[in-house]
Amino acid sequence: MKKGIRIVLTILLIHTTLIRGNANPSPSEPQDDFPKKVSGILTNSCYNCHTTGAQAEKAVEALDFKKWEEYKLTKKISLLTKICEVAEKGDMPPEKHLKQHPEKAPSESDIKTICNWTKKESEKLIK
Amino acid sequence: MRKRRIYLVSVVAALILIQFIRPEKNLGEPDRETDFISVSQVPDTLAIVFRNSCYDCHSNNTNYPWYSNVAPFSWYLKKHIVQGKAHLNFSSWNIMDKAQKITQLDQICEEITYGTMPLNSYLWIHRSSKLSEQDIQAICEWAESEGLEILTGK
Repeated sequence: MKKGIRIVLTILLIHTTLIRGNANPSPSEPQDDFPKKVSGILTNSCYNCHTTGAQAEKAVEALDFKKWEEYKLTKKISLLTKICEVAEKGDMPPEKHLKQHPEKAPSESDIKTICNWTKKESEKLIK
Repeated sequence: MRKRRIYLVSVVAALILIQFIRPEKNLGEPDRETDFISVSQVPDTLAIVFRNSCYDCHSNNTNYPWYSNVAPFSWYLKKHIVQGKAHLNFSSWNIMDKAQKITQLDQICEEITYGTMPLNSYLWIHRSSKLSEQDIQAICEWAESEGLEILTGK
């Protein structure tokens, strides 16, 4: 009997944590299903300019992570390729931006994580 | 007066001397196995546009203007061609994987829509290379359908 109660309680506990996790997405979190690690890097280094509502109009026009799911498959592949490319070349985040926010610079390993992900993701889309 | 003459003579001498530094020309053998237009079976009307507006800097075969033999213009051209081919070389289209091709097709449309390509400096001399609205629309439509075809396997 006691065991039964314990199981029910555990299930309830897990259930409520899950619900809470879904109900309160932090506003800065990307609206997508990117892996957590990738999402973290993107949030830190890219989201300031590349999400709906950001002041950088050109940046939003070029790539808007909030609208990720709305992009056509070919556009997604193209953007994925570009994301890795600009990160590797150091074209993004722009130097100007990094001067003001040095903490936004992705590390070498961040860039590797991003590129591994973009490659896998676009392979998935092509299959 | 004399100073001026020395100055003039040295400028002329320098101009003559630099003519001996001749960069290698971009005149490779066309390869139908890898060339964009033949591999992707680009429709004739668009193939003309690509050749006329893009291929000078984005392929292994440049159609050189007369001043291409005159330094320093020759150096300037060389630099642009090297950079252009590094970004996209239509002559080696088929070397790229599917993701790269799809990306390039998307980028082609984007660049010409925003007017970043062809370069303004190129258009000053090659006025006929300027893309019309119809050209841009036709290229974008074709590029999108080609991208989709690559995506879904061909």
